[in-house]
Amino acid sequence: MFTSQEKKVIIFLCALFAIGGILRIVGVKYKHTEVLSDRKVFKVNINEAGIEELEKIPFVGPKTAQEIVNYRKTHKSFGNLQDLGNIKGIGEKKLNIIKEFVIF
Amino acid sequence: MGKRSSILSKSSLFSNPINTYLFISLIAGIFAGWYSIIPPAALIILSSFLLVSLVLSLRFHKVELFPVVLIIFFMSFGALWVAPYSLHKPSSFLSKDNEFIIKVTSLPQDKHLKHIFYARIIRINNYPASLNVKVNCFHDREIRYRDSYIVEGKLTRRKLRNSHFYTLWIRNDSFISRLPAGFVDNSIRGFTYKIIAYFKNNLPCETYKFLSSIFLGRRELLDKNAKSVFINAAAAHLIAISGLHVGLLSAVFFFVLSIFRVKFRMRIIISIAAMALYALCVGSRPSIVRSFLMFSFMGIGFLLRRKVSIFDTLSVSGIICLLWNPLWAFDIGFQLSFAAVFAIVLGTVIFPFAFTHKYKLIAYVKGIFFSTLFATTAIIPLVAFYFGKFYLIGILSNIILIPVFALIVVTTFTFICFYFFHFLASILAEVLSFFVFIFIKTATILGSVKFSSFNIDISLAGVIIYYAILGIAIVLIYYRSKLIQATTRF
Repeated sequence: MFTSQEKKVIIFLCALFAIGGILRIVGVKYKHTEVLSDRKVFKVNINEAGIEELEKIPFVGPKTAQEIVNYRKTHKSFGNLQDLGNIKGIGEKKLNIIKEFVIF
Repeated sequence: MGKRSSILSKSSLFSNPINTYLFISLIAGIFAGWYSIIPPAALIILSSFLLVSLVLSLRFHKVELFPVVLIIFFMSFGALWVAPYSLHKPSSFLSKDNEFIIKVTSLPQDKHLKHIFYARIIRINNYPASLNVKVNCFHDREIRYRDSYIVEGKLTRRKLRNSHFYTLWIRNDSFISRLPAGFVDNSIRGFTYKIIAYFKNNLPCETYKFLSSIFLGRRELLDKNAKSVFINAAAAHLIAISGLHVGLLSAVFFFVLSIFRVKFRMRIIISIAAMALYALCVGSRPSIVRSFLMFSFMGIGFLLRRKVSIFDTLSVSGIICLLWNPLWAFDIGFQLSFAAVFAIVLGTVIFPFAFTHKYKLIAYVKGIFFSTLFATTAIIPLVAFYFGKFYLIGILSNIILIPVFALIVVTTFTFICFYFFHFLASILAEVLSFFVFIFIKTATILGSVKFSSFNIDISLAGVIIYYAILGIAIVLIYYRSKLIQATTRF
């Protein structure tokens, strides 16, 4: 009735649906999700990070990173987000985005 | 006439080693042209002279020097072909405002990173360019995959080991003009979005991102952690769409078409068309273009009832890739892809016993073992040069992960086929999630094995010396095996 190739396809599909059905009934949850789950927002300590670490923040390039480091040398540390807004190259728009990636 | 016909053989498709020499000379010419070793004016004169010599040698049947002249012509042609790009290198446009025409090659992300995407710069201030960049764009204007835009901004460059990474910072007050996309780009975008939406609606988040990456080349959906899992397990080539994907999908297509009683020759034509569509959908990167071209030449060889030399299909694929975009000679993916495949093909010629055994399972394991060994031998210096790493776990990873990977690809194809059958698709979604879980868990375990990789530093001189020694070793082994064969016959 069926050729050998057709039999292989039927067996493969049956196997897939059988496995899928069993998994659905059992209701297995997978614990690997932390690897590929919704992108966790990494945080950079703005008062301790070096230039390379600072460049990982979106929209912070080499010059802005250097400005941050220079600011830390003259003012010791950043107290809050408003201090970060004093950096040349970080305006209001950029600050709104960067705030999610920094900790003080 | 006899010598002429041996150069342009009609008994089989691409059966002359000159193709390999032409490919290598074209690459050499592109490098020479990029680093301006010979001035463009001299190249034009040299190329013209060589072209005339080739025509005259054919005309007057003086074919003894034809191959040599052809090789030198290809070298000078390569240097000339890259000249439009080398005359205005990206480094001359750094850190100042310029006008760019970019084509979006990745999907802009949602949530926090919607302002970052990847694109290819096609023109800088109206000069031709071909540069893959990360784009930072504050504009709220919708950016669409595969659309082209005219923007103003600054280009910056960062060096990491021996590679340069470019970032384009679009100015806040820049105009962003969208250039009308062609029918092909619009169709591919629509098709890709549909598939990704289908994945997203039916699969858990992690499975959809993983499958979008390995099946559609949407690597931007994987974050650094996810990518590092595959890199540490020496399985990064599985998320880079290449010959393995084309091989698996074309085999599945062929098999499915045979079920529907499609004639053999028509199956080849339909498979070639399907792979062309697939290559366009996944971004036409060097590795996928190479594998598509090789597959097409093999298919055309069957259709024309000609013998096909894999060596020559590889070389001609390389020549076509470089004619399409000469800057691919500098692309890491291009170099790794061709080096690995060249090594595997060479290995099958020199060590034919490596892929055969009376038991299928042992033949399969042997095949993967030796393929990985040959490919790793060829790409060690490149991986060390660009990434500073050497992966010991590669062979074991491939033996374990490739079967699971093949199962995932076939099941994904089946899942897409059940697009209009929601209930059955949901069942298959469970299976896919399970297979992806197995794959990632295995890759994580393999990557966490002690001494799976170690750091290694190599200079450009070291790379050249390594390949020179490897080349000499290969030649010696090849001639020794020929000698043994010859003495055995007596």
